[in-house]
Amino acid sequence: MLWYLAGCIVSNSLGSILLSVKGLRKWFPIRRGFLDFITMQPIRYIKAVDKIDFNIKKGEVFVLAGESGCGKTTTARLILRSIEPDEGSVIFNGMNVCNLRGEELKRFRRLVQTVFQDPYSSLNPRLSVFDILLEPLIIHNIRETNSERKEIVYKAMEEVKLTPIENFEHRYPHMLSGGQRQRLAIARSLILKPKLIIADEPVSMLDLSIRAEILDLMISLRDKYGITYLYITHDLSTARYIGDTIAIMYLGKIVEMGICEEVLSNPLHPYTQALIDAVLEPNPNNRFKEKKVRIIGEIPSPIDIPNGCRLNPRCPYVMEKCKLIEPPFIEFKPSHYVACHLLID
Amino acid sequence: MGEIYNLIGLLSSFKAFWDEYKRYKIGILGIFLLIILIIISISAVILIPIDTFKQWHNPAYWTRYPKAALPSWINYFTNTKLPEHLILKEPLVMKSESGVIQIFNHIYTIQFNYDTFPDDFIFNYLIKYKGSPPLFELSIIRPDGDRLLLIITTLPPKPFNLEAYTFNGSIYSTDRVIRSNVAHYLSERIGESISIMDIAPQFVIFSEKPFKLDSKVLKGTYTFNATFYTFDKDDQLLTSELIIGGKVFGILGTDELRRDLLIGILWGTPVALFIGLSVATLAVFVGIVYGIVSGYYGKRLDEIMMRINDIIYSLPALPFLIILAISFGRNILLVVLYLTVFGWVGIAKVARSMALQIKTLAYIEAIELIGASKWRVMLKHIMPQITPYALASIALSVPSAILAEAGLSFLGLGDPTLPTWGQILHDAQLYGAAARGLWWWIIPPGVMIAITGLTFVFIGIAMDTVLNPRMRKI
Repeated sequence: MLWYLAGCIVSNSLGSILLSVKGLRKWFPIRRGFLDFITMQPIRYIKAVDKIDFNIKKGEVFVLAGESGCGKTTTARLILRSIEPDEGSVIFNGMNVCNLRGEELKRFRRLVQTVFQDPYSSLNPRLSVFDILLEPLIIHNIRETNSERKEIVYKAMEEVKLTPIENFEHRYPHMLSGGQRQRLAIARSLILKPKLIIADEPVSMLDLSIRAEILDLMISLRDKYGITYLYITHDLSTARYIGDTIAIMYLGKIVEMGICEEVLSNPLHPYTQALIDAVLEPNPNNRFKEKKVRIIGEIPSPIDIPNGCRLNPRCPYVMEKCKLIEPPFIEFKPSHYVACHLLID
Repeated sequence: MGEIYNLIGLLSSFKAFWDEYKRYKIGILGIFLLIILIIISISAVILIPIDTFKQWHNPAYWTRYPKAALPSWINYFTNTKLPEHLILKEPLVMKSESGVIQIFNHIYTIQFNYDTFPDDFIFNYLIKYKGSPPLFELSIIRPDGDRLLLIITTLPPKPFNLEAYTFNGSIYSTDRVIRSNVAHYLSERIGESISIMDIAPQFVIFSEKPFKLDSKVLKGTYTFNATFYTFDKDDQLLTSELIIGGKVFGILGTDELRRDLLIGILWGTPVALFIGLSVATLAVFVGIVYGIVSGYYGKRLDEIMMRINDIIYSLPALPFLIILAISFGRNILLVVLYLTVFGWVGIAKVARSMALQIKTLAYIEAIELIGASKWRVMLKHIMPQITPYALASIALSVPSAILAEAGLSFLGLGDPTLPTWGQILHDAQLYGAAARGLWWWIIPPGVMIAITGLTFVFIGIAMDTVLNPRMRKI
């Protein structure tokens, strides 16, 4: 717990909200064919993110978990203003991100950094390690002289243990291993001293052996600089390893949210339970133990979202009500939110 | 430090490129041809005085050259040896004095072993005199020992207002005096009186005995002896020159306007390379910037830019080039500009599609999210990815630029101050070279255009194969 406290002390404002997402919605229209147009078919949408709310506190690791295609990455891109939301707001540090322009947007870009899933494609193959790390400093015009900038770059490289520096600074991304590349990507996100780092499945493309190393690095940086993380993953085992708060997403909605430990040990929503069951059990003695909850079938297409509870075609506990009414998102236990009819009755 | 490493990085990537490139024979051939073209260009610029090529369109400069003469190597392939056009400038000089009289002798010895008669001969001299006008005598000694006195005359008197008079004189084989002297010589030999109107001196002077209408050429050594008698010790014979008008000349012959085609062909090389490379480089640069902007910004701007591109794409280039050349001028730099205007559109299309592809890559999104401006993303992160393609397409654009310029020149719309291959072909067309069988006027410029085009096609194909790995699979 010591590192946790240390992190909070650095951030110096325990519990205050850094990022607040309110009613965020993004529907992507599907391109209509000519025939659809003349037959006056209604425009259909991919409901990638459908009115979600959550708050991220300063200094915490907020985990956004869910299957592929549930809208996690779209949420991240909405927060980053990489795409514009249809509705809702993202409040970062008191500023509404959706209204930022010019210099303010640039300042926001400096304070919020990203680590991508694929370290093989997120680094420009034509720039050396040194140039990749120099790029953010040039963009944000940080420090005037080359020697000052060089110092910052070297410090960032030391921070992520890309050492000895002289071995690495002139290498190109293709000369690095996957783990080294991801550490380079983290160094790049770190170099501007951000308040929030959005890490979109940062370890899912890496070998198991180096996942813990990257996660430990992220935690140690959080402790040192009070960085807040939005950690996006489909893998609950890494979520448990790193997360403070977790939100489970299903088809564009958050179905359960709470303290990570609590949610993962006492899951309330059938979908969360199913996800936890799907995590491989490391203990061989449990190999014959029957999984409690199984959800049936494939995730539906986000174009034809089922009425009522979105999980109803797959849920083993489905009731009549689930097919008609969308369950409200309630605080079932203190700071443990869930949206399920089973728990309302 | 960093710069040095960058340089090493660049060199090593160039070495990697070269290692890959040299596996393609076609590329090696292209490089070989390019080196030859560059050597030709450099030697043309160094060896042929710039004055000579500036005189290309000045007919007065070329009067000493033969008209539509074949290349001289043609004699190796034919039984009838055609006389070579000789421009002799280095006579054997002899000088003697007796009292105040000085005698200057310029003796030209020529081996005439050809099967047909020369066209004519011209003797030019430059003499400076102060005193009485000098006496000038030109005679010829035939291989059989006969000596013909061609002319004996007094030079014009010095104008009274000049201290010293420099006189530039020319004696043509068609001069009345020479014809009369030759007629006299001939009538002595055949015992008939000959009208000077019937005489073409070269057919007598270079003819076998007995003199008949179908007599052959007397082969052997002819000696032209020009003697000047001057009457002041300061008088000087400065230079002289003997031109024997032949039917073959130089390596590539001459055209109807007596121009040495070798000079035109050699000077055409740097001009063609300049036009080809500058048009290609400009067009590719413009096309790539346009394509990247269009592809990266996307949406409405892309739509507008691509429709403009389509309009230019669908314009018929040649009629527009003709209109431009007629209305705005034919200076070589303007021609480069015109060709660029029609050259960039295809490259812009390809660059746009590459930009569309590159902008979806994660590192572009990454750098955008760091806060890079659109221009920075385009210049630093998209452009370098397209650069290899640009280099290959520069090489591939050169031939079309050279061909377009040749086409314009062929239509008579080339830069009038420079010789280009297209213009040589234009003149050949104008004087009906094809109909008259003057092949040496048509083939060399045509071949040079083809070789230059081919050089860059070879290099371009090889570069494209190396730099665009997708091509290799096909």
